[in-house]
Amino acid sequence: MTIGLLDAFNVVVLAYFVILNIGYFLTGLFAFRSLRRYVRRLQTLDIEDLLGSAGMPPITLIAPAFNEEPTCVEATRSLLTLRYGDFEVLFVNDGSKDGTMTRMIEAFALEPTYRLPTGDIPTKGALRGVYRSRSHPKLWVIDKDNGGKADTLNAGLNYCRTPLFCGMDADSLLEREALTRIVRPFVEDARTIAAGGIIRIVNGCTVGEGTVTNVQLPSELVPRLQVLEYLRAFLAGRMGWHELEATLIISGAFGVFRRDIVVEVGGYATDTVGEDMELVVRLHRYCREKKIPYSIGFVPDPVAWTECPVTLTVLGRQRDRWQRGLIETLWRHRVMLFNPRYGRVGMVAYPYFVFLEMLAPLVEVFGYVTFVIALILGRVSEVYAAAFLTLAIGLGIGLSITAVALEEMGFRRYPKRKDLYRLIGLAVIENFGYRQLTTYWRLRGMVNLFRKKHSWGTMERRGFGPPKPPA
Amino acid sequence: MTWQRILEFYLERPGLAVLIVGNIIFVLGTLLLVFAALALRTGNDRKGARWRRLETRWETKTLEVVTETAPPEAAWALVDPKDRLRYVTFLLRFARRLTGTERKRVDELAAPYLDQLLPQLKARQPERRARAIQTLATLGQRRYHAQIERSLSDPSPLVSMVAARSLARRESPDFAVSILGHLHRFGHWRPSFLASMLASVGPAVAPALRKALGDPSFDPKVRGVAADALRELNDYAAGDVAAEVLNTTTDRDLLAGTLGLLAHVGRAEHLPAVRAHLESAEPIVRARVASVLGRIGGPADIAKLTAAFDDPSPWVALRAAEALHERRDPVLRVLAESAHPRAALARQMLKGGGA
Repeated sequence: MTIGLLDAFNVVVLAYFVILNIGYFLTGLFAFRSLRRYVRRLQTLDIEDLLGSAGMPPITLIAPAFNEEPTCVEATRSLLTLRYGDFEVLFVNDGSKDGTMTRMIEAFALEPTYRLPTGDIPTKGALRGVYRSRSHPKLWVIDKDNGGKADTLNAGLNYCRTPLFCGMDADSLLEREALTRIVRPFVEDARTIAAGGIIRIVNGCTVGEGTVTNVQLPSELVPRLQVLEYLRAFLAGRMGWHELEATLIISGAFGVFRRDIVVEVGGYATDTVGEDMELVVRLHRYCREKKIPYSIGFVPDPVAWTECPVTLTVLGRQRDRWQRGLIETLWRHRVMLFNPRYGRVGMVAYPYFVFLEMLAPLVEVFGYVTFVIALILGRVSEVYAAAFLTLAIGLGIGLSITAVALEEMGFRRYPKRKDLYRLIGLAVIENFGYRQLTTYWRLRGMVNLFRKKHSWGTMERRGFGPPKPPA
Repeated sequence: MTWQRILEFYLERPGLAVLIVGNIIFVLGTLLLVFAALALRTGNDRKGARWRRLETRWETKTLEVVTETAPPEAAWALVDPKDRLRYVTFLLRFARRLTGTERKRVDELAAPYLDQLLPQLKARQPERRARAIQTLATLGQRRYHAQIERSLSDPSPLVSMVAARSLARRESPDFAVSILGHLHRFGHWRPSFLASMLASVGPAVAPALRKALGDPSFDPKVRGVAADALRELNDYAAGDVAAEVLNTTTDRDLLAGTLGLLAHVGRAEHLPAVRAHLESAEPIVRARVASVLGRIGGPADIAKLTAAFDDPSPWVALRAAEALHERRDPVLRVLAESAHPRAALARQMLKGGGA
């Protein structure tokens, strides 16, 4: 009986594995199609022409900040030098316990002022004060008690006066033309309610005057592996979902939204650690239920550079949180699962995220365990085992190489040939230990969610200066 | 027979055969992808290097032609037949940095090669057609306008928009009429962007825009775009048409657009039409009314603006505060010094905090 169950479970895991990889390959194929078209389309774009147009919609950049002392000034300076006609920056300090506010006040000559709130989304953190920069009139700072990232974004939304807002991390560096590029879908298709840009890793790059001047891979292995992961997630994953018109995630580090509709749905959810994904799913749900024509997409060339964790401990906490956010969102909107009322989102993207993203770590870990047991009990021959494992690794490598090839086809942001070779090498290396670790962290996230651990986890910032030598 | 034994072995173990075949396919596929990534890098590096070499070669001579120190033939002599379209691309980027007679010389340099782009107007991919339109419009002066105007009806909205924007840059009212006629095709585009495109034609387009604004047979969205474009042009003659529209339409966006126009070009005689919308159910309309009253309203409107300062919508209150500030009326100072819940807004306005 037990042996029968073991065999059956192994068959289920194998089938799951096949479906999972078919899913990845299909999104990769769609991504290829979409990216090829997008790159051709870019040739018809005259960025100067767009920059010169008075018709580009005004945008508010909402930068929520908690303990961002090392990066806040440089990141804000970078925002103020963006090449875009009409924008303002709302830096929202979420009750930082370090010197974030002091540094901001000194660096930008902030003075207390008043600003009429235009929204009334409830916020937990009480308002401490509103400041405006004497040296940079586009910069406003809202200081509030700590309430979490979503609460901080909501506070910013309440003071937003433009039709569009950009939700981002205060430590992200946006490329100069990032706003012009990400706003294009809003200009070209008035149904657009949200668009996400690509997140790239700044570790290892040279930053000067708020911009990335030299792109290269980080010297440390952990951030380097994340570069590859981000390429896979954005170019092979989100680009594919964009092609299918079923984008479920817009990264909290860089996404532009229509203010009115986000206010209508009640702003960001404060009771989840995955507020970015939750908002996008809620927008899909709201628009489908109200029969509002809409579009949510991904744009691959506007870049936000962000610092990634350099230690396994911090990275583990981040992945744990991402997994909890994913589960919370999918559980909250479970009515959408296989529900034709929600179109492709309900019938394709939602099942994919539930069965192939949310449950993946669970199936993978139990798969590893039962596979080993079956091997010990002699239920699987060594030849089968070897062939199965080679296939698993081969598929993993194939997927990562697809992302590298898409990057080469589209953007070639890592100009050094050495970095290309390294990326290809990383596609192999990551399968031996790193992937298993991420699976473990995601499983830990599931466990922590059921144990009702809701911590956000802290991110250690190094700042955008040159890499510091190890202590 | 060895092959027969191998075949029998796998036929007895079909699962293993599938795994091994899968492995072979994926190893080959992965190798192919690695090769593709490397080939793309090599190809692009080579293309880049060649492009830089060509540019260096062309740049000096092209500059000499532009500054009239060399005849155009000197530059043409450097262009191999196979590089002609590359040279056009080079000139396209070059042209964007120049104006006046220097710019004209660049057009002359491109002229012999532009006909080669015409077949691309029939290309299957809309992006290629759009790119060809953009190049012909930028470097072709008026020579290709017929083709570009025809492209307004291209099945692809992208091509159609590139054509419209190219024609708008020509600053000719004739083209503006054509663009207006095709404006319904850009239903998904942001109205302010379309308005800006039309306004870029210049004041000569105003009569056509006024006609569109006042004509109820046009879609309200198109009329709203016309109102926005007239506002950008500061077309004072549009005031009467706008007031008439206020009396006849109930479309929210058209009302908002028309009030936005009147805030710039309205006169006292238009006030009755404006005041009629003071109690509109739409906050955007009430906010726009407040803005218009701030610009052209009379003393009787101060009380209305003071009442609007209490409007439940913060947007209306903001515009009312701006309007009172613009009118330099002492009531704003009174509000600022009072215990009014929005006193801080009045103080902000007085301090020059703006909206």
